[in-house]
Amino acid sequence: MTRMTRRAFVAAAAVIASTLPAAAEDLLKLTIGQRGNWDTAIAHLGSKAGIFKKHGIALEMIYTSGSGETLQPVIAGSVDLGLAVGTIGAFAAYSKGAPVRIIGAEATGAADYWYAKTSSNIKTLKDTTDKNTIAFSTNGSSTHSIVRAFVNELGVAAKPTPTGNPSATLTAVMTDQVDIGWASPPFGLREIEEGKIRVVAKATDAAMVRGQTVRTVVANAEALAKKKDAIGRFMQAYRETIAYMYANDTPALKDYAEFAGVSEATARKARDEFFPRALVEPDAIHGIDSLMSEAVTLKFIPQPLTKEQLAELIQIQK
Amino acid sequence: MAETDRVTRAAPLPQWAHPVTLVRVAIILAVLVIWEAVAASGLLYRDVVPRLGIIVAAVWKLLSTPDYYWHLGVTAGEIGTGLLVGGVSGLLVGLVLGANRLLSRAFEAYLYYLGPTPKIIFFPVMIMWFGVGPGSKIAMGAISCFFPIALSTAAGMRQIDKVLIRVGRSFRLNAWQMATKIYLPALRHPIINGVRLGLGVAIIGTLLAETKLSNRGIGFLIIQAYSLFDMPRMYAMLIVLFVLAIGVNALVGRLGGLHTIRRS
Repeated sequence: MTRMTRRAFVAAAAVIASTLPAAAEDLLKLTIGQRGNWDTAIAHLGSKAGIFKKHGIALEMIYTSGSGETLQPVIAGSVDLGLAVGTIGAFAAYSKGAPVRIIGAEATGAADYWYAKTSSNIKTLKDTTDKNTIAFSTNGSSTHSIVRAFVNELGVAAKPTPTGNPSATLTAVMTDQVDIGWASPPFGLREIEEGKIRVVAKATDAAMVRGQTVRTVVANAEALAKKKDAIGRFMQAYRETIAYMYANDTPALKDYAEFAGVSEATARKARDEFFPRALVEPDAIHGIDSLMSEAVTLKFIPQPLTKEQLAELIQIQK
Repeated sequence: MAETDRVTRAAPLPQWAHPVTLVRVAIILAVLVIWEAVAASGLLYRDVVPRLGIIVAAVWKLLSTPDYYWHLGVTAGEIGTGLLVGGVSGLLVGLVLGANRLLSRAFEAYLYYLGPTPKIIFFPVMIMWFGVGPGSKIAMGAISCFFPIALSTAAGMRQIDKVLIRVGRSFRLNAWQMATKIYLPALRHPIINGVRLGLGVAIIGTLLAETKLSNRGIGFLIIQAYSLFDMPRMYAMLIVLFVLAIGVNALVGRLGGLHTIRRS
């Protein structure tokens, strides 16, 4: 064997060896909605910190433009897990026979907030009249439920209006097409600091929202059966990442700031003021009864799911 | 005997001084002036309509980011593969439909109906068949460009000079020879036109798919910038994309010899 050939073998062995740990990891494919939010950054931050790798999990993360697009590939079996899928949407998909299972909570309560232009007379939701409009993203979304809760619980008179995502909503508010817009932090925090808009309500002002799991982590049923161990380890790493994100002086804030394109101070503000740790804890689905009644009212499901159906649908991976 | 002056043809204008070029430049300048005036006036929300200087700075920053070229490469690969798959299948279908009156009458109506349908409705099916990776984006590009290329080829087939076909037959050319010596050369312009139209819709289809579900590509970057309300960056990407699309379109036209067509 010539020296050249030996070197080639050594180099090839080194390349193969370098890929071995990756090959030993279980690959899970995820779709994730609302890229840039603190709660949807858990998989990214945990991967960056090496937490998922420590649990033998490699992640392929694909970002989507909303809950529907997050759920579709899960149902099709193109990905294993979907993060930030609206709970009501998951109920609806399951009731129609889609192979989807809820394996954890993604957001209990909501960090979303509602705002008005600083030049507006509206300082709180009580200042609204039936001539005003209040935004939510799309029909049946979690922001729609929250606005309905504002109307039902707080007697808000403003007319609910769908305006799409936070970017489109901000444009609509700043051009006076809608009086009260919605956003999810860190979106809009810069505009608040610059004095362009002011917060008039938070999602948690509605009692119903405070105790309700509005978004979930879902799995494809077949993937859950075949990769149960890997998905279990994913959830362990997910919990560990949450602990890491809420630790004092965590590097997660810097990583998140870079990921979301905001300053570190804004990242800290988003976490400390809008995302209490309880909001992202995945271990229980809360407010199932109110969610179910919401789903029936909005015609997402024809009747409430039975106990047996719920037992099959909700399989929290501890 | 009356004297007559010799009529001489004026020297051709240089390309930059051609009236068409001047009108095009004037249109672009007018758009830029209106944009800047609107941005400066504050009539529209400034963060949505930023000043031109801010957009130019964003273009420069974008082009100085090495990561951008990686995403551009991903999208270019998806569009190119989509165009190849959709183009070849569109060409074959167009040749068959153009050559066979029965098939044309039976199927072409469906192509006309499906052609203008927004192809994004097929995206969930594409995800199911080709997964969430580049496959579904390529499929979206392919399905988008298939229709204009097939329809343009079929229409071109029917317009081929019958004399050329009779000449081919009188020389007893076989089917392959007829295709390569008669049909394809005669179809060059309709095919290139179809490809140019197809390229545009392939870009739209691929980018739309990337905005919906992706972790790479220009569509992904655009929707990222939009969701962060980073409008200058979003406009910068659209401008670069626009310029690239114009360049590729012109290149396809030139390679296909469209500039040799005489307009009466």
